[in-house]
Amino acid sequence: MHGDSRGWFATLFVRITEPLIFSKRPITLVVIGLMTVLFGYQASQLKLDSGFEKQLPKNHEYIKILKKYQSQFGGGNTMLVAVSQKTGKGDIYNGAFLASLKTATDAVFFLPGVDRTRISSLFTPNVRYIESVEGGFRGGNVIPSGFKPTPEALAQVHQNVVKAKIIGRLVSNDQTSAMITSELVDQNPRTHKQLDYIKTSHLFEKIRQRLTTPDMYTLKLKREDAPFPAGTVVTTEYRDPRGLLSYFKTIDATLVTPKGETVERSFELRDLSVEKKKNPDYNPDIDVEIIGFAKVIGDVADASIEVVSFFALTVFLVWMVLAYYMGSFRVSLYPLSCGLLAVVWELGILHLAGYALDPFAILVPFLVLAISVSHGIQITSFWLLEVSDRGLDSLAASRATYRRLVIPGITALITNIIGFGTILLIPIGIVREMAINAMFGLIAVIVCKKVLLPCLLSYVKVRDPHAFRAYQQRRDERLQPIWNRMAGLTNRPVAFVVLLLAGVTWFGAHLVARDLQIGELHAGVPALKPTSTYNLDSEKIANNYSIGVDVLQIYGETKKNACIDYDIMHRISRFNWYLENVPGVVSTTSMATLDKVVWAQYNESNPRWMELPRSQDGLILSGQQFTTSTGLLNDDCSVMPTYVFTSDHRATTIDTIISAIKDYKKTSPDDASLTLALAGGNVGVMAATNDVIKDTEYTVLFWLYAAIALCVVVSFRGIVGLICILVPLAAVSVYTYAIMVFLGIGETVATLPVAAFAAGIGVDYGIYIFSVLEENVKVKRMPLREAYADTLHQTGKAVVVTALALSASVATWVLSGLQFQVDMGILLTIMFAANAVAALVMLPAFSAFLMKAKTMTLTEGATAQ
Amino acid sequence: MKRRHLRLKAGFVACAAVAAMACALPTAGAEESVSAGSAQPAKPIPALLVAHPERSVMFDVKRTGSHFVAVGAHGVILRSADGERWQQIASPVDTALTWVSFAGGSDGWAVGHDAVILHTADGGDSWSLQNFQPSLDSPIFSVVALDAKTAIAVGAFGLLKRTADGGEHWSDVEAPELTTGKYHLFAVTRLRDGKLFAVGEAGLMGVSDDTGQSWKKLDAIYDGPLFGVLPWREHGAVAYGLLGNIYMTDDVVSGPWKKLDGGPESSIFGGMTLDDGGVLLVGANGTEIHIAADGHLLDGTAHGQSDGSGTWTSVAATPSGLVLAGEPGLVDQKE
Repeated sequence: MHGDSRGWFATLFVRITEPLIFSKRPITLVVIGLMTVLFGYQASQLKLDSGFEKQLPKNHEYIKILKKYQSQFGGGNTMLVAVSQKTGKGDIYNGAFLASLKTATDAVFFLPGVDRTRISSLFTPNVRYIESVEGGFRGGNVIPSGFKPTPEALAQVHQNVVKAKIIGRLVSNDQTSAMITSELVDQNPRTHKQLDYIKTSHLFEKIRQRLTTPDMYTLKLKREDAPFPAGTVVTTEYRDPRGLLSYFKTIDATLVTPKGETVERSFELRDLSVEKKKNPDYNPDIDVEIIGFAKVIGDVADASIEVVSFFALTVFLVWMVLAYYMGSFRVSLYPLSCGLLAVVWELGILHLAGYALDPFAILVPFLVLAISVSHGIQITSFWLLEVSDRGLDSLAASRATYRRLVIPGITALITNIIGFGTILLIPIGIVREMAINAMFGLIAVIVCKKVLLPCLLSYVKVRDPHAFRAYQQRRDERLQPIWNRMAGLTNRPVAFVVLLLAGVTWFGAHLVARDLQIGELHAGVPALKPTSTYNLDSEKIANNYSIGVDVLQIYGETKKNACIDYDIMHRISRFNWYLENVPGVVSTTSMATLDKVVWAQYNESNPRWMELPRSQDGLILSGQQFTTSTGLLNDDCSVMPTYVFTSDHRATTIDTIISAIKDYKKTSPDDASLTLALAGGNVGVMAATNDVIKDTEYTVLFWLYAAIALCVVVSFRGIVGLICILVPLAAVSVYTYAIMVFLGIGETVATLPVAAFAAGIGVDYGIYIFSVLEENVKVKRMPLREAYADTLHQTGKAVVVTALALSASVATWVLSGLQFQVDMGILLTIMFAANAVAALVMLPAFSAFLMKAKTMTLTEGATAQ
Repeated sequence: MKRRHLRLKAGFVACAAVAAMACALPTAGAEESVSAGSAQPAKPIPALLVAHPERSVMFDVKRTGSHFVAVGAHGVILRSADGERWQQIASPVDTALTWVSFAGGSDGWAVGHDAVILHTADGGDSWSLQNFQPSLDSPIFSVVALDAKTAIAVGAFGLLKRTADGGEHWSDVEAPELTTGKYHLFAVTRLRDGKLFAVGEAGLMGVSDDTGQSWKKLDAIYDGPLFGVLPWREHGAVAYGLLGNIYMTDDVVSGPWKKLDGGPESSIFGGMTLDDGGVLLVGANGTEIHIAADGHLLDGTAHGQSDGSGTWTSVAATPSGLVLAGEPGLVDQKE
């Protein structure tokens, strides 16, 4: 079939479809045009969306446990805002700082989506100091009511902070920073609407701007907009909202109507007047750090949108490559615009199928462009050959191109689809979505490239065929010596050396690749770069406070009222102490450990009482103030989680901790009265994800190669093609693993699909080269060397240019603000280029030994046809 | 002074508990009584031998002959030749050990929760369990070893035990003046003139001049808890307790006691006598109080209040400075 357009099916397919497409070209174009309008409209409706759920490997046991307890012990929705004195500006005990902290606390309090009962800062009434005094307790607010920043009052606040034992939690260890902790409500209890995390993130960001920017911009209504009179202050911004496209900008604001209702409205910026003022809340001595899940979502979304702007750069780069190759900016626009059309189709189909675009999958459109351009090059290149070498007119060249390339092209794309399909084996929603997205893209590519492009090319008027042909031939002549030289690879001694080198490097790479780690290798939020604002904020908070952002939850499943059973509590406490000694664990907390602290508090805060009381009464007393909202126990106290704060979420850290827990459970096995069930928290999710990657890695690669092998065997009906095409591909995978080790890239949800994508696309090179080479040798009976030189003349330059275009289209991801996109970009760029080189070099070397050995002697001095 | 923290224990744990208390105090009061608990008698469970035992909350550190010995939560016993590098010693129990005391270089006792009494005859290199009474639900807070045979231990609810045979038998001491009220006894020590002195809840103070066989209660000078006592001059003592309450006298029997003013208002949980005759006390929120040999508070040594680095319960002199024991674990403090 494929590569062999003489098969009966292929002949039939072409005989039916060619007249269908080319005899009524206007109709073909109109149909495609209408579909484009439909998909274009759909694509314009597509939204950027992200969700926590689909990042989870649903079927993993940890995740099943997590789902079971998530609603009770979720607690992952904390937002932390730290207001910090800049270095050298002293501690927090001064009037200006406390004023800023109060402003920030109030601002957080009034944000929609924030649980107002669970905000803590020095200024909230739930933060009190308590001390044991003779015969009881004494306590009060850390910041006394009627506080004025006098030296005495500031000293009092300082003392209260120490007594309240909030250093490390609400005040940094060096007391130069103070924290506002808050929790977000995932679902609005009144409207049952899901919280808009991206918007919430932006509102938190505005608090930072409010405290750290000197100027502010008041936006007022220019004219009446019922029910609001002209001059109503709509909102205040801290970045100048005016700019290049301000005419089209809309401003979302929450306003109170004259009747006292709170409404959310959008205004056109052009209907508002902007007034610049001094910002009264500006404090030049402070920085603000913000971390939390919502902020991650917001920052990732913002960075993803940034990536979209690289798309223009990508398109430009690809155009340049194409234009050089084709010698015409105009002609190169055809494959390029067909590629863009494929992207529009892909996005349209995606929305039609009910999906939104995840920041994680935002790279798929780039890939679709890359793939479609790669096929476009093959088609345009063949078409050019027909026009320039054979002197056919545009239409005849188009039809010839269609006849020759539709079958290998579609088979290559089907191979791609199967390759991407294997990614579906990874049971993580977000990865599957990406695979489905990419498969939609490939369907779009088949139509846009195989049907539309030849159709459009048939209309191309080559104004000066002679000049055009001359350019093609000049360039081909320049390249011919290179091709002739490369054809030397088919000489057996040369081929032997090449294969030997490949074998040795493969083995070397394999040794290096054994160090490849699964999971994240860097601290900070893995999606974002280590130098991103978020990760710097997170690092600063982690350094200055004693709270961790990386947490593993282990659920102690036990019996009813277990928190007043000494044996159970003691077992949990012992387990916690064990964990605290595992490398990578910073601290642990659970009801069992906190009971001890409270027990000591009840005993005049004498630390020597810090132990679990044996009696039920003692356990009742020390545990009774922990409500279920603390996340330390469930309603009937039959589940008590242990929170393990880890130093980071590097793969090695997680592995160490998980295997330590497994070891512990060997010596202290779970039984009917207590089961320590793994796992929740962000680290638990990562542990599960790493497990899934480890488990499915080989499955995915096996089916990927099996599928490709099947396609190749069916197409070329022989083992020769299999070896010539598959071995270079496999070699590149191993080299890539070695490169990942060198670059410090771990095998993650983001990089695992890359292997499949790259192999799926990389196989095209081999297929195109091998199909032409085989035809030259078997049908045209050329000697191998001559056959390969001719193959290179026909498709080799296309392969090189394709590799360049593909690499160009993904190389821009390196500029992304998202770490996984940077990693993917680096890997894909390398793999696209390496696959081309491997195919060009290794494929002829293999064929030297495997293909038609008797023609070898005739190769000397052969030139292209 | 330069500090090197062996461990920055997350203050999170303690703080969360206090915050939770702050919200819940008004509703305090036992409301449910559910029958749980196991029927079998409790057995001692050996302590885990761990990689970072010094991260545990530590309650006492003492110098003994050529070594230092420290005890703490989770049954952790640590031993060191230099006060800096510590080695964990196997312990028969994994519950909190609160106090350790040596008579000479080799014989010593460690005490703790579940009325645990451990004995060593080799300077703390190995320990055996002499007393374990979890059903009492009464921690032993302090022990003083007088010689290889004799030691006195005190604890919660008026617990007062004595051995005269190296711990073969630990018997309750008949001391109705001290024990009938069931007040907690927090510390016992030997004064320079050989008298034994015990302090406890509600300003309880007792003295014994027959190696702990009989005890006499002294008139209370303070109604709050006294957490410890140190020898002062020839016949005197320094007793310390809640909220910076420090009382001292040159003669424990005849008095008079005077209150030491001017220190921080933080509870004091431990201390040590200094070679120059002074006293160093340590306590809540990083408090360190240096009382000079003349009985005055030494200026500039009263940390606390602004430090907030954790609560100390014990301190010992090392060749290079001090080692502090407390909530943050064991922490070196270089001179």
